[in-house]
This record gives sequence, C-alpha cells and structure tokens, in this order.
Amino acid sequence: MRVASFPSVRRRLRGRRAPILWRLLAICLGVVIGLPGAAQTAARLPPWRVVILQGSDISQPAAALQDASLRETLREAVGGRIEFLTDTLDALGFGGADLSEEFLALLRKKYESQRVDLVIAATDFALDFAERHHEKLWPGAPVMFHSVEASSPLRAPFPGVRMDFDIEGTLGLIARLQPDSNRLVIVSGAGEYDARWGAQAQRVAARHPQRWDVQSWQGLPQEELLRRLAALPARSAVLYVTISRDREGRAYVPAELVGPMAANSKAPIYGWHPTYLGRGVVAGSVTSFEERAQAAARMAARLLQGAALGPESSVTLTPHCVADERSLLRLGLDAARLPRECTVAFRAPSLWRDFKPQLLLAVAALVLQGALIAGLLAQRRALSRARSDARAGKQDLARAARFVTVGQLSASIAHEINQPLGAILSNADAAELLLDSPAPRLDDVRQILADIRSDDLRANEVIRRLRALLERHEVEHCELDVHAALADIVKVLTSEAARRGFRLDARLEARRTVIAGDRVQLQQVVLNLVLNAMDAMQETPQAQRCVELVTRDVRRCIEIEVADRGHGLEGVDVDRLFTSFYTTRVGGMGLGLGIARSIVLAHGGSLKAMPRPGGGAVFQVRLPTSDRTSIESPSTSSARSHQLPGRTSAPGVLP
Amino acid sequence: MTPVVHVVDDDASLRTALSRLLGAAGYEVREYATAGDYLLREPDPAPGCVLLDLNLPGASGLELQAALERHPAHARAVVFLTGAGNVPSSVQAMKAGACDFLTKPVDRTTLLRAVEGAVQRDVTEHEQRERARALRASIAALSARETHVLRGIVAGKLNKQLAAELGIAERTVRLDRASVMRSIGARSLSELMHALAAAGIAKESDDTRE
Repeated sequence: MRVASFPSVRRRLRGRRAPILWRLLAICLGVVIGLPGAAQTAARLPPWRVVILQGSDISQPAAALQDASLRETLREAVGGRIEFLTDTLDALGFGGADLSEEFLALLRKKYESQRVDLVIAATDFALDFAERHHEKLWPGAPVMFHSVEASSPLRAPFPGVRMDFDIEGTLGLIARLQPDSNRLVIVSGAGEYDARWGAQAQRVAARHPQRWDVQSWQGLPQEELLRRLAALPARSAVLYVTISRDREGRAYVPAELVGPMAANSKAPIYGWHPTYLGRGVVAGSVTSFEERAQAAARMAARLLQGAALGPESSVTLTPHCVADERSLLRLGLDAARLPRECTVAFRAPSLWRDFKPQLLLAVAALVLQGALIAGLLAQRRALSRARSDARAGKQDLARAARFVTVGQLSASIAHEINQPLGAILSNADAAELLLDSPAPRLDDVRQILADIRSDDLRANEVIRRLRALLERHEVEHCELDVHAALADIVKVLTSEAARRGFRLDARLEARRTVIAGDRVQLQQVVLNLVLNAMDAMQETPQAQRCVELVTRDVRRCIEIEVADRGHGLEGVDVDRLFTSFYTTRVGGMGLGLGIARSIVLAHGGSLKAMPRPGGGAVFQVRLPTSDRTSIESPSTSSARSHQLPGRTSAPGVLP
Repeated sequence: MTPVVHVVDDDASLRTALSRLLGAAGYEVREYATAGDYLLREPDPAPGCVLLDLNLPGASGLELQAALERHPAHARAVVFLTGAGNVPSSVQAMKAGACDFLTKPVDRTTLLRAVEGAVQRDVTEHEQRERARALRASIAALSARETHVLRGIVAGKLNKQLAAELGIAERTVRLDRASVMRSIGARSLSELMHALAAAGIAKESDDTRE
C-alpha cells in the first residue's frame, strides 16, 4: 500500500520544494513525541533514492548475497523509507570494445531528471566508473563504495568499506590444522582477477619457504584440476584463490567449483572467500559478506542522514577465522587446533548441542530409572541370596540325612568293599603259592591277575558310589536314567537286606526311564524308602520279609514303588508322615521322609504313602519323564562296568 | 583221604579266589553260592570244614550253622568269614561251635591256620563219629539177651542179678557178657565204659535200644 502511494507523495513533496524542511520537522516531531511518532511521521516522508552501481555479476553468489544484505540492512536503518535504483556494469569489465561512452550516455539520460540521494559503488570497477562520472550523472549526490580491495588507490574523496583478503591468516590456519603439511598448492584461474590474486597468494606463501613446497596451478581446466587434486600425496594443502576462467577460456563461477574440488581432492582445501565456505572448503580467514554489507549499509544510512564523510571514514573489516566442521570431520582434521576465536560453522548434527535440555531431561530420566532398576536388582539379589541360603541349608540338611542313611548301611557297605578286597588278597596269596610251586602254571597266574584287576575296579566302584552319595554337591537337574541310578543302590541295598535277613525284590519294569533330576537325591529318596521298609518289618515273620522295589510307567511319569509287609500305616498320621521330625521309629530323627518328599517335589513329582492290601505299606514316588527313552551317560556305563569281560555278574547287579 | 573245604559265599569272585588259594595249599575245594546249595548237595564223606560267609542271600551263615546240627551227614567244622562282622554275630557263631571267625579281607596265614585247625578238628570228630557209628552197629547186631546183658553191665548189675532177671544160668550170663565184650572190642569193663561214653551212648541207656 505504502509503495503504491509513493508517486503521489513524491509529487506532493516536490511540488512544495521543501524536502529538507519536512525532514527537519520530522526530526523535531520525533524528538518531541518520541520514536513511535517519528516512525509515523517518517512513513509519510518521501523515500530516499539510492543508486547501486554493481561492478560484478549480480547473479554470482558473493555479489547477490552482499547486495541483498546491504539493501535489507539499509532499509531497516532508515525505517523502510528507501528506493533502490540498480545499474550493473559487469558486462563492461572485460573484452570487446569500450562501451563506457554509450553506457554513460544511457545513464545520463536515465538520471537526467531524477533526484538521487546516494550512490553506492560496489567493487573496484564500479568505484572507478563512479569516480569518473558521478558529477555528470548524479550531481551533488554523495558517493560511497564497498567491496573494494584494500590496496586500491582512490581518485575521489569517497568513504567506503574496503575488503582485505587475509591470505596470511588463511595460510596460518593451514599451518595450524595441518602442522605436518609440506606441500602447498595454490589454485587459481586464467582470468585477470584470478591471476592477480594467485600471484598475491604466491607472494605471501613465499614468506614461508621452509614450511611448504609451494606449487601454483594456474588456469587448469576443471577436469585436469580435479584429476590432479585426486592424485595429491598426503601432507598436502590446497589454497584455492578463484577460477573465473580457465586457460581455454571457459568461464566458471569460482564458488561453484569448490564442491567438485573438495569431492575429488585428497588434500584439504582452504580459501578466504566466504562463499567457499559450506561448499567443501575446510577453513579460511574471511570477512563475511553480510558484515561487509552491514558496515556499508550503516555508512549509507549516515550519509543519507546528512553526515559528511570522507575517505578517512573508510572501514576495513577485520577478517576472522571460519571453519567447516563437516569438512574437518571428513578429512580427519582436529577442530581443537583452530584458534579459539575461530567460528566453526556447518556443524555436523549433534544431539548434545541441539537438544541439550531435552537430552539432560532424558538422561535424568534414565538415571532415575537406572537407580530404580538398580534398587530393584539389589532387592532381587538380596532375595535370591536369601533363597540360595535357604536352598543351601536344605541341601546341607539333605546331605546330613544322607549321612544318617549311609550310616545305617555302613555294615553292608563294608561288606561291599571287603568282598572285592578279600578276593584280591586271596587271589594274590594264591598266585604267590602257585609261583612257589615247582611247575607254576602261568595261565592260572594270568587269570588271577585279571581277576585282581576287576575286583579292584569293583571296590573302586563301590567307593565311587559312596562318595557320590556323601559328597557335598551342587544339586543339578540334568537328564538321567532312573534305572541306572537305582542299579547303583540296589546292590548295596540287596547286601543290606541279606545282612538283616530280608529279601529285596527289585523289578525295574518301566520303559520310560529318563527324567530331569539329580541322581544323588533320587538315590537318597529310594534308599530312604527301602530302609524304612526294612525297619517296618522287624516283627514280620521270615517268609514275608521282602521289600519290593518296582518301577513302572504311569502316563507321562515313572512310578517308583517301595512296598513292605511291615506294621503298615495303622495308627500313623499320614498327613504328618512327611513332615520333618515325625517318626514312629525309636531313635529315629524323623528327617528322612520329609526330606524325601521335598526332594521329590523339587523334581516336580509326588510322594504318596498308602496301606498295602494284605498288610504293610506302599510308598509311591512319581517323577515326570522326559521324552527320551534312554541316555548314554558316563554314569550308565559305569553302572555296567561291574560286568567285565570274562566275569560272571555278581548277584545283586541288575540285568 | 584229602580234606575237603566247602566254600559258601555268594560272591563268585571271592569264592574263586578262595578256591584257588585253598587249592594251592593242597585242599580239595567245593563251592556253593548259598546255604541251600550246600545242604542240597550229597554229603561228602571226606573230612574237611565249611568256610562260611556270614551274609548270604536267603538263609544266613548263622542259620546254616544251626541247620548243620539237624543234618549230621553235612556237619563239618565251621569257619566263618565275613565282610562286616559285628560282636553279637561273632559271639553267636562261636557259641554255636564255630572254629573261627575271620573278617575279609583275610590274610593267607590266618586263613590257612584256621582251615587247618578246623580240618584237624573235623578229622578227630570224624574218627569219633566213625567209632560211634561202628559201636552203634555192633550194639545193633547184638541179640536181645546180649543187649539186656549190656544194659545190665552199664547199670552196674551183677551176673547173678541178671541171671535172675533173665531166668537163665549165671554161667550163660557170663558167656553172653564175654560175647558182648568181644563184639564191641573191649577187653575190660573200663574199656567198654570208655567206648560207650566216647560214642555218647553210655549215659543215655535208652539209646542202646536202637
């Protein structure tokens, strides 16, 4: 709306011919009623007319960025009261005939009847043009410049913002980031500007002859340049000046070459132009276009407001270091080597940097959760320790009970061991006698030695079984063959039965005999039940003094039944039978059945007691079987080891 | 006649070992796995002993020892050999007349000495048994009147008393008495009494009727 009203306002103002007066009034009003008032008033004032004389291709990133930044800053500085008139001198810069005269005539015609408040010349070329022609084109209007090289001489007393390319500073960055670099490649183009700055860079680099072997690649066509870059040896650095044109005359946008160069180069690329940054250059000592443009805009605003500025007011911006973090990371360069004041731009995405509060919160939540979990774990461990203590206590008790049981069997165990020992001794004695005889039969002696050997193994087996029963062992549930486990104890039980005048009738008839369980504990249960059965038959007449030990398949279980003809369960509290310290036996501890049942329960089985038809009692153990019907384990084979070649099996060993 | 050692043990291995040792020591050996096996076998007339395990399946060693009294033909001197002897069973065994009570493993010297002692005793007992058997046979061969006379002699009766009891002449009694002495092989009254006592007949005069 405001823009649409420009012409009418302008016409009005011009009609009165007193813009200065209006301006003064506006300032006074501004002072009296404050800034909002001033702004309101200003909005009604005619806009400043500013001519921007562009000396470079405005489509080039550097120029475009700078131009946009300048306009924006200046517009803000004067409260939007501004109008830009742009003329581009770029095409005049090179080659062909000098078109300056024609162009000048065109401009003179263009600005003949125009009021111009300020002329801003951008680049050396534009400044040169303005110096020569400003009186003719924009008489009375102040002129300023920017993007002019620091060393350019001035012919007119204009203020402006000079730009200084900090080659030395950029080389300093190379030295810092690549302290071990020994080769510096200066890349520049064949254009006039390229060549000039290329030469300048070489001069600066030549100040460090001991540091770098300096090479200059000038005017290389893109393909060759990229190829050469890819072949660079380690410890090289590339300083990219500009390539606006190669030696074959092809034109380039210098900044656009950076991307392909960086993608191909083995060595880090440095440059002092801010437009290179973000395209693959590692670092450079640069003055930013924005800063430059802003400084120029501030100067322009002062000129518009009537300040009289001369060349002494010119500004040269301090370059500063900017590095590209992505490139640093890609090339494995350490950002910590950069000067402290260096701006690290284009940071690689970092969660920590970008989401610090959220991360802190998340971490705090995790820590809290962790603490909670740790607490729960600690509690759980305490619980499991208590459980394992209880389990260990139970195991100790079970072991103590085994000692008692085995103690009851001591006579039979002694018998079991003394049988083979007796045989060994007698065999040895016999052999001695045979050898003493006039014509010893060596075959007999050999047979004797074989028997001694097998009896020794037999004694050893008894001791092994005994140790297995008595040793402190970690209860472990693994697959075991019930019959093999029972075979071990049936032998000693048979002997015990004989000693006490009983018979043990073992009929192991089950087919599915593999359970998951603890061998020793299983043996303990059966030992206990059988010994109990014998104890119960103290008063039973000789003919009936038989303990039956039977196994059979019952659904998915193996049933181990121990039946006697003893006093039965008459007057026995069956419910309390399996609790600890309940005993019907004089001198009994009452631990056996309680422990037996807790073992069976731990195996997922059941233990029941019931009266036997015809007198006596039956104890039934049921244990769940696994799917396998047999296992070949070391224990099974050792149970078979009683039957050694050439020997008849000893009575009591099961088939 | 070679003495026979009867080894009764359920453990085949030990039995074999004992047989070898005793065989090497010059004995004839018979093996039995159970007490029943021993009793079922025809009795061996040869003197010897029974080397008996205390723990046997079925009837125990002590039970076999007790049974031997009822089976005089099988009766031999008994040496117990046990893997786990205890005081009560050894006392019982010795009371029942066992020669020795050994524990396994048994040393050769001990075993052979015990077996030798038992065999010796059995030989002595065997001779005694033979004599008693012969005496019994002689007595059984006597006529009824001679038997009566023999009883009279043992009871210390005079010829005159016997003659009166039998209603025969005192001289006939004297002839019968000489015949009895001749049959039994005693040359004097004291020899007769000794023989009868040794055969265990003298005290129980009823036995003489058999």
